[in-house]
Amino acid sequence: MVVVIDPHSGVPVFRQLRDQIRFQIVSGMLATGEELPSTRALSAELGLNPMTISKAYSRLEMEGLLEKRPGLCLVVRELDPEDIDTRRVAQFRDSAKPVAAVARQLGLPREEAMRIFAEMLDGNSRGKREERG
Amino acid sequence: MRSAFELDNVTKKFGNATALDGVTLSIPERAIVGLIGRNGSGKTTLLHHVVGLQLPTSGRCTTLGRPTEMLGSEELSRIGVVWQEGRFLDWMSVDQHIRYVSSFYEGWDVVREQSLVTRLELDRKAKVGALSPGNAQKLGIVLAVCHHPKLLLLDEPMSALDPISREHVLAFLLELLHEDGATTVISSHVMRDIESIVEWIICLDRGRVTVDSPLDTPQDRYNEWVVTSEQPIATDFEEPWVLSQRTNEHKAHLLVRDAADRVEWFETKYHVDVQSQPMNLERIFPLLHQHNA
Amino acid sequence: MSWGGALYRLLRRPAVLAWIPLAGFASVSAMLAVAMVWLWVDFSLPGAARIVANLAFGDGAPMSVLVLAFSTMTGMFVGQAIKELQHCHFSWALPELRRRLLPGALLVGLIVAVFAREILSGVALLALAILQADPMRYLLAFWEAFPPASVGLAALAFMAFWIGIRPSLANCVGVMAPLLVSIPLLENAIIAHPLVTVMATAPLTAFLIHETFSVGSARARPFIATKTLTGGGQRASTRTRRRGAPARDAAWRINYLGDQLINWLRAGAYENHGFRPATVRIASILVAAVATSYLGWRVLDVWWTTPGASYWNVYGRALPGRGGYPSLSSLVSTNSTFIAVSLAVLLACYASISLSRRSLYPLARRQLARIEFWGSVAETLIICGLMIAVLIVFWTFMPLAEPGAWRRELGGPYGWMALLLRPLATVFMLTPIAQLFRLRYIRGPVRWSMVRERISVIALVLILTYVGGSIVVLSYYVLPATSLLGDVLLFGAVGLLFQSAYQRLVEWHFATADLV
Repeated sequence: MVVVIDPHSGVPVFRQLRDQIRFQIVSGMLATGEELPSTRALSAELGLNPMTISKAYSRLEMEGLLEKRPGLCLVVRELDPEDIDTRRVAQFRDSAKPVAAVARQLGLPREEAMRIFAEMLDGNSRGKREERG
Repeated sequence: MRSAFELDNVTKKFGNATALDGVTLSIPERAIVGLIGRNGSGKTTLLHHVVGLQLPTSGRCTTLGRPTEMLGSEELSRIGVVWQEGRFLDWMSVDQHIRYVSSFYEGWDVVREQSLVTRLELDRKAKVGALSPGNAQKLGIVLAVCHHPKLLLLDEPMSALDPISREHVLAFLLELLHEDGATTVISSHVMRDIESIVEWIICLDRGRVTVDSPLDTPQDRYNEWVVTSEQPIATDFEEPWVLSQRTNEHKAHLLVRDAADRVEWFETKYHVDVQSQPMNLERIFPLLHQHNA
Repeated sequence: MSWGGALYRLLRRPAVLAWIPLAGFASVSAMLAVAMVWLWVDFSLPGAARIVANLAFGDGAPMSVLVLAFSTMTGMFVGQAIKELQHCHFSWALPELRRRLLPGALLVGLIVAVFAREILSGVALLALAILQADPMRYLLAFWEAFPPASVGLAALAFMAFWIGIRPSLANCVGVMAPLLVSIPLLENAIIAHPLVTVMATAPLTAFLIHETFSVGSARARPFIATKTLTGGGQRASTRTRRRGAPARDAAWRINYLGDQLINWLRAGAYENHGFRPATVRIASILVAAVATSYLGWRVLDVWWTTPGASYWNVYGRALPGRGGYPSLSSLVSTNSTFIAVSLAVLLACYASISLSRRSLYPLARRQLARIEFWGSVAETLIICGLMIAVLIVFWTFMPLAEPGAWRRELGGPYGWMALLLRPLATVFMLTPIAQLFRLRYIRGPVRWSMVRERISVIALVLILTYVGGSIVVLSYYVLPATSLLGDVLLFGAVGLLFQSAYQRLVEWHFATADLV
């Protein structure tokens, strides 16, 4: 699991961690049943307070993304597809909001903005297909 | 959970000057707490009270379960302190000083001492009085941690250290928490240092506690709004929760408090676009002193 | 910077300006305290006060020590002021600073030394007027006995010494100190031949002044900013080894101190003196040598010189109305009390063994109080041990002066013990006062500036020395010593009383005061 935390950004560290892990789970980068590193290991790796990490983990547990197996570390819980979809949409919505704001500020016409966005979507996916294929 | 130390309405006056004014705090064990405040706000005085070197004019102070005027050698040998100005015996060499202080404590960990001295690149033969401020701070840290303290107080421990040494020290403080279950209080001006490892913040302003909360709380409360508008922004924003503003023609930077749920209302009222951005502790710090709660 | 400007700057230093009124105040209050005590004596024993005053001050004898002490302090302060000026942050940028300071330094030294004399004679006059002693007689004796020139020279010599002579010369301290202090011992010679005295001491003084202001000595010490007089005072933690002295530190061999008292006393000694074990020994020998030479020479004087003959006459007179110790013994007791108490106070303030880091020791406050108290007792015992050693050496001079008188006066082979007893008891009574002062103020939570600290210590030395001397003198009248056992019991009890009061005060201090 690769997370990048910036403790000086002003965003609470536990929230950064929680959001990044959530993203990774929802996008599939963290597979179901995959074990997360222990609080202590992650704290040593990232140079963070272990309380912060356990706070992030417990929030994710409350959200239903992680579960605790007795005697083992936390693992990614199996989620049903509807749940995943809902979360994916919510994640995307959050990321898209600033982009929409920029478009508005620039005064870009709606059609123009949608066209550019479609282009970007296509361009990226074409790149990915080329890599895999 | 037992508290590591507690202050109950502690006031300390030095002649006419009030150093601490009705301070009430309770710090649980195994916490890492950041103590921030301007120069002369009473941080060092607070730490003196916690270890019993100074006694309050009124109020009570309890550390490791005992009133501070009655702290015994059992409790005191489980406390380590790093002072801001090194309070050393200048005529000794580093090695002599370490040997001397190590004889105060029964369980002095020589392995930890050696590891720290190596990591921090401290010269054992150097004379303590001739150490540069950075090296003096390193010595202070070594002297305070090798006896496995349960309570560690650090007063500006890293202000003179270079970034590499700072990394070492921060990593070591986390190790300390894991290995010894130590409660750590770091008093610092350098917010960057403490932001990464503290989970609780106490802010002192002229002897009073103005913030006593998890680190997330001020980070959530205070935000920077980037306000953009197609029309030129004419007015100053009068809302009480707007703490400061900087306005160009079409853009304004506002620093706001407790305004997370007012974004839409604000956008509607003024016909503007608001982008809320977080602020780190360094930028929040002046705001904590501007408007006392 | 003109010469006038340099002089003005010298006089304007806080050190010099602060010294004058405080020294005046200290000496006035000391003399008044003594005068009040003796007035009381006069009520019970009419005429005794005059005799006592004449005994102590009849020919200005103890005053010579005082004058020299004041000259030394003058020199010390002026010298420090000059050193401070030479080592300010931008002194290196001022052209020819040393050369321009020289005449100002000389002038200031002379002025203050002469002023010192005026303060002292004026103050003594006041005390004696109260005592209805014979002031004119005293004045004449004082003015004749110590020509101004020798005072001025003594002041200059000390000033030059303190300005910061070359490190290599620092090794001569051991030799020079008794030499300089023995000036009062040679005072009878000075009385007889003032001009010769001036001519004899001038070369040494000139040499020292030349050394001080020479380029060589300036090069030997870099012009970096040093601690100023108005900065923080001395702490054990900030003491450094003297430049060039080899590092012969005492090794710290204790693995774990625990809560054993003796271990912590060793820790205190190590903190304060661990870097100069050899020097401590040398210093104590030096002290013994100085005191011995003073007392020894005085006794020899008594018999051999003309002013000594009149001196002897005064002391030979029996005291009215009471039996008790003969006067030569009281001279010894008084003088040794002066020396014992002043040394005790100085050592207590500056050579203590109390724990000195302003940081956390793993000791409860109760334990700290206990360590402080017993450390102080150890200090007092060491001081008494020093004094006993000095006085025992002194006895060797006695037979040379007047063997018959000795046996006659002291009444038997154990009489000498009684002479020791009262001064030592005084030390036990008064040293705790200095130690308490040190605990609460010099090593207390509020840091005093060096000026304030040194002036208070000097004032304390003066006051306690006079109080101690007068207690001892008084005691021979009020409580004549008829039996050794009685003396031991009484003064032992009083000493123990003072020490136990001190113990209570130390405990109270540690229970309630800030330690930092």
